[in-house]
Parts: sequence; C-alpha cells; structure tokens
Amino acid sequence: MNCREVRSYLEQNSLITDFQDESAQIAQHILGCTECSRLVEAQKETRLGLCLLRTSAPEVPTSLDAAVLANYRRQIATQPLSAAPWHWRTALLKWGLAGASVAALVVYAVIAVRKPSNTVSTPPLIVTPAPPKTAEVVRDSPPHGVAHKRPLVTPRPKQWNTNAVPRQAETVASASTLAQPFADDFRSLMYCDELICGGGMEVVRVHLPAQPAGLLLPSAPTNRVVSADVLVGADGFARGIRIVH
Amino acid sequence: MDTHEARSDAELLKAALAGDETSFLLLYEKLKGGIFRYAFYMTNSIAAAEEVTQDVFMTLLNEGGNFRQERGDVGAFVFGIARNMIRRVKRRERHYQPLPDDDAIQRLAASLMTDPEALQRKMIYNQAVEQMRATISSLPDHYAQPVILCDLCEFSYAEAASRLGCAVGTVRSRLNRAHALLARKLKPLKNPETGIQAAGTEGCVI
Repeated sequence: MNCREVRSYLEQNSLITDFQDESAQIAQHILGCTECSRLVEAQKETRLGLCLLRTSAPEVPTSLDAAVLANYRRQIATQPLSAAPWHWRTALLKWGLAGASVAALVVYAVIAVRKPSNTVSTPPLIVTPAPPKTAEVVRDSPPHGVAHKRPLVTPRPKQWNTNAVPRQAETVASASTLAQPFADDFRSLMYCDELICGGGMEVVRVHLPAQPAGLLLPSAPTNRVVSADVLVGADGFARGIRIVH
Repeated sequence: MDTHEARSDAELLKAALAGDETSFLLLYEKLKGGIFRYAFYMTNSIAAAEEVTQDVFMTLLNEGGNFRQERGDVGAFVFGIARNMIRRVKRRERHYQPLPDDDAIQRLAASLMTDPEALQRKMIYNQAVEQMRATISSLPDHYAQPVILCDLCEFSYAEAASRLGCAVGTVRSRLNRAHALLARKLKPLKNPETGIQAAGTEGCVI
C-alpha cells in the first residue's frame, strides 16, 4: 500500500470505525510514513468521537408516542383524511387553468384576425376639385343614406392599407381630415346650415345607386351607380356631397 | 397485522391518511427513530427534537396527499418536512442559550455523593461528547448533514443521498471532507497542553 491507496481506502470507507481488516497493510505502510500515520490516527480519533456521540443519543421518549397517537386520533376525528380528493382537486385545477389559457388564446387570435392590419402609411387623401359637369344633381331630393355611411373610427392620423380589398361596393371609403371648407366643390345638404363645423372633417367616398337617391334624371338607366364624396363632420353628420362620376 | 407489515411505506401512508390507525402506527415506528435522532443532532436539544418529531407527523397527516411515489420514498418525503421544521426551530431558537435541565443537575449531584470516580469518568465522557457535538455544529450545513445522517443516524450512502436529494458520490465525498475538517478542528482540543506551553509562564494569570 502506498500513501494514495491509504487515503483512497480511508475515503472509500468513511463509515468504518476501525481498520481491523486492513490493519496489517496499513500498519506496514504507516510504520515508514509519518504523514499517513498521523492521518490514520486523526481519522480513528474522529470516528471514535462520532461513535461516542452516536451511543450517547437519547431514546425516543414514550410520551412522544402517546402525543403523536393522540394527535392522529384527533385529526381523524375532526376531518376525514384522504389522499384521493387532493389529487382530484389538483387535477381539476390544472385542467381548468389549461382550458382558460386555451380560451384566452382563441379569443386573442380572433381579435387579432379581425383587426385590420395598419402597416403601410400613406399621405392623406387630397380632395381634388371635381370636374364641372359629371352628373346632374337633383337639388330637391336629399341623398338618403349618405349620412349613414360615415366611418365608425374617430379622426386620427390616417393610414392607408394598400392590401385591403373593399368588401362591398359602397364602402370603398377613403377618409381624410380636412382643414378647410370645400364650399366650391361640395354642395350643401339641405338639413345642414353650413359646410363648416367645429373640429376636423372627413371626406368619405361612397358609391350610391343613382335612381333611388335621386341623383340622376329619371330618363337615365336604373342600374347606374354614382361615385360621390361626402363631407362628414366630427359629429358624424354629413355636411356636403360632391359627385365624382 | 401481517398484511400491514408486508405493505410498503407509501401504502401505509395512504391507509393512514384514510384513517387506518394500525398503518399509521407502523409507519410511525419505522420513521420515528431516524427523525428523532436527526432532529436531536441538528438541534442538540431533546425538547426541540420531540417538538420537531411531533410536528413532522402532524404535517405528514395534513400534507401526505402531496406525496408522489415517483419523486422518492416516504422516508425522504418525511425527512424533507423534518429539515424544514428544524430550520424553523433553529431560526427561532438562535437568540437563546440552553440551560441544563433540573433532572440533569440532580443526577449529577447524586452521582457526586455516591461515586466520585464514576462522576469524573462521566464528566470526561460528557466533555468529549459535547466537544464532538459542538464541532459538528460548527461545520457548514452541507458537511454536517452527511455526518449526522451517515455517522450518527446510521443511514447508508444511498439512503442519505435520497434524504439529501443528491448523488451517492456527492455524499461520499462530502463525508470524507467533513471527516477531515472534524479531525482538523478536534486536534487542538485533544492536545490543549501544547497551547499552554506556547503561552509560557508569563501567560498564566494565577
């Protein structure tokens, strides 16, 4: 046995109190090695001290047994103990949480799909003066339904989605905030006093069936559609209309 | 009774939680010794060890439903509870210095009257035990735990590893280092005369 083997032996057999079996080999080595001799002596003393401490351990008091048993009986009497309901509750809680998470994800996905993606911004639409005579407007008949075509969004910096495809013909709406009145191009609607109202105004382009709205002469074909720009005030009411074509 | 003894600890725990007193007593008999000794060596107090043991089994009754067999055996689960309890007790008691109880003083006085030599031997023995106990308490916790579990509570490496939640090799190496540390700390206590010689005669006050 060399020093390393002696140390390895001590390390591997940390729980052995005495070194009877290997005493011959160890004794032979430690005769000529003071360091290992000191190490073995120190280990022996430590292990003897531990053994001493182990034998000095007190016995479990009998009063403790009685107290624990009394506690157990009291516990059983007061509440029925069972392992199963706890598992059940835990499982139920887990599944409930998982279900709620999935539902929240679905709702979020639906909202995300329905929300228009405003990714590309374009400059606001500038309303150009309409050509002088594009259509004959009958002044006596106000265009019904124009006021209902106002956008539901509040005025804000405009963004234009170039990818969006109009769902219906009459909602190919383009909106822009106008800073000035358009008294020259737009014709005042009969139920409005002025073309100007407080706050911003928007122009909404709508397609209207010409005949029911009374925008064309009665001799014109009934299936014609008129494009018109409607000036909508901040209060949501239409202020003026301009026939585009 | 035979059918109870053939059951595993997990089955006994389940039955005990369902209200089977015999199963509970069997489980208690299996575990109480280890828990009590572990608590005693960790706290150095019989009263604290009793309190911890009692609380551990109360907690086992309340929290036993959380036991999962795939995570370890019942012994490891109970030792986890005991370790938390002991930590709490030690935190609570750290400001107090324990006093010897009346019974111990009376026993000491009685033995002084009857057998003075035995008393001397007993005092030397007690001193050695106290030295050892204090030295173990002074070890870092990750060294003290393997010493208490393997050397004092006589658990195997595997059992200690299961209780401590680490590998067997870790327990083995920590135990070896703990023994080396203990030997180094106990050495000046075993040979106090070397310190007196070094101080010289001028160092003596009397």
